[in-house]
Amino acid sequence: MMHSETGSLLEDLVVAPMALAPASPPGAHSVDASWRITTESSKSLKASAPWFVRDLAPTKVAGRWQALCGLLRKQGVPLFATTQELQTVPAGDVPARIAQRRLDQPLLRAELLSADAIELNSVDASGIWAWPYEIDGPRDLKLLVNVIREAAGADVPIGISLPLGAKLADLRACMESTCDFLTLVHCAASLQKSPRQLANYAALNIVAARKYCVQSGKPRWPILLDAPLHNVDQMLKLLLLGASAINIASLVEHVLTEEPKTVSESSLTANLLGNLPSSSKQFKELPDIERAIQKMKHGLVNMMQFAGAPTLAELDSNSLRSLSSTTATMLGVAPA
Amino acid sequence: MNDASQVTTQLNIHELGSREIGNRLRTWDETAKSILLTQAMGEHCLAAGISAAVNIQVEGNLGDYAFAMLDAAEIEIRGNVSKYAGHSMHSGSIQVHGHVGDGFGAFASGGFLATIGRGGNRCGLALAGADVIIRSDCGDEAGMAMTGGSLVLGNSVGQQLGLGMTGGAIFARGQVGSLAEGVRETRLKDADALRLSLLLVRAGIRAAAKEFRCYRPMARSTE
Repeated sequence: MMHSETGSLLEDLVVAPMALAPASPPGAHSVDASWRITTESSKSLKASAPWFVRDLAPTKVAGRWQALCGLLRKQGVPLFATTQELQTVPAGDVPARIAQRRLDQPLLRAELLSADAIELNSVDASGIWAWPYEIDGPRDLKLLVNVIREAAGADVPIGISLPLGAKLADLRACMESTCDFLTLVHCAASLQKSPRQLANYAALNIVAARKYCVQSGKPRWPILLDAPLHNVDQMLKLLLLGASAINIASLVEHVLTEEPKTVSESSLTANLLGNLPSSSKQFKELPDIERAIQKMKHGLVNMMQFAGAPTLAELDSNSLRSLSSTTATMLGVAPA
Repeated sequence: MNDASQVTTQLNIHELGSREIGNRLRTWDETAKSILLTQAMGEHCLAAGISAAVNIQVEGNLGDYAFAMLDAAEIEIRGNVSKYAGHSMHSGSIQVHGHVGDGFGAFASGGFLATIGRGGNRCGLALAGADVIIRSDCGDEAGMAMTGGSLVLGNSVGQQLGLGMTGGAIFARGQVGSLAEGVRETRLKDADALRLSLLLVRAGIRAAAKEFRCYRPMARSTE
């Protein structure tokens, strides 16, 4: 049983200010919030901030798909999509595309060749995770990654999805497969949890995965997190705990389709955001999505400046303090 | 008259490496449409994703995922191939004069794959429209998750034939270890017999279609 102060591990965390106060006014320090996945051949997937959009079908955003793609491109946010889903989008509006190979689908050359990154997604349509049919062990996974790499011209980053709660052996198999990134995804089991439980679950999994990466000598191995979170503050803290980038599809969908709900923020993020539009504003249209994404980035930049981290890589759990000793122990964060 | 397209280009896999071979074949723009790949020594992922309309002969044994995602090319392999040869193949053909490992023709949506030797487990896995022929014995779970196409098994077959298949047809001549739930033996229709005869001829197998039994899923998906 968890016994944190608030019941939410993430709410027990605060960002610690940098050791020495900056000589210049806050905001004067430039920070680099961009994020990238690089391959051994140095080709990379670049994004302007650590977010991506995954599992957002065009039908979910009705007639605003094309405009949304244009917005994501403008904002430098990668999108998980098929070539078919982007067929009607003008070339100038197509964002960086991450292709997926689902476990019950063939490898499609056209999908692989035009992708900026490729993910082996092993969650089926009903939300159940399983290794693809071809995989009997770590060696098979490595070969599957290799054949995709070969067919895609060897230069495209390749990732593998694992469910939140995956076994250490599965994580090890992914790392040994020579893939370039990992996506931790919610699936049927984690969807049964409440938003708070899900956030706790995501936090514990991210911490465990990052710890394993450090132990394996790959401390900065990219870990993408796909959990249906709406809370910007939680997303930012998950970045500090070890996620390399977060799926904002839920946020986008939430802003576009649900009213009068709002983009929720904690007082911490609200303070960091300063005089930006109030969190009580109801977002409905694309400009509001753009504003929401900009607000998130602004919150991140402020957090980086506050913690004295000039790059995302330097923003880690050392910048966090826990208000609860239990949370501190569970997440390996220093107590406040 | 010298027809340049009849000229055979010879490439040594062992010397060039499988990656270089793949890169050359994926960007093949030479006049020669006949390529001989020599000294194959179990290389994995050879020539994945090639789409040049060429004839390729391979001498030696190949590793896993040989000619995956093949499109258009005609391949002849004089040796054995390991797992998942012709994975996700779209069109063209792969003929193996040897044995094949697990998952021969897995996810193939078009084209023709045949071996004169034995097949491993899960041959024709998730087959989605291609024709796969295994002349000799075949392992367990052949035709697993198959949604379309034809899987022809010339001799004895292992357990759980057609496990989870929702479409396509399996033709088996020898003893079947066990049928998976939801798969039934059906009458070999004239159209099936004709199609099967043509496939057998193409694979160079001397057998009559009537020697084969046909298996289909009980509730067939639309093909």
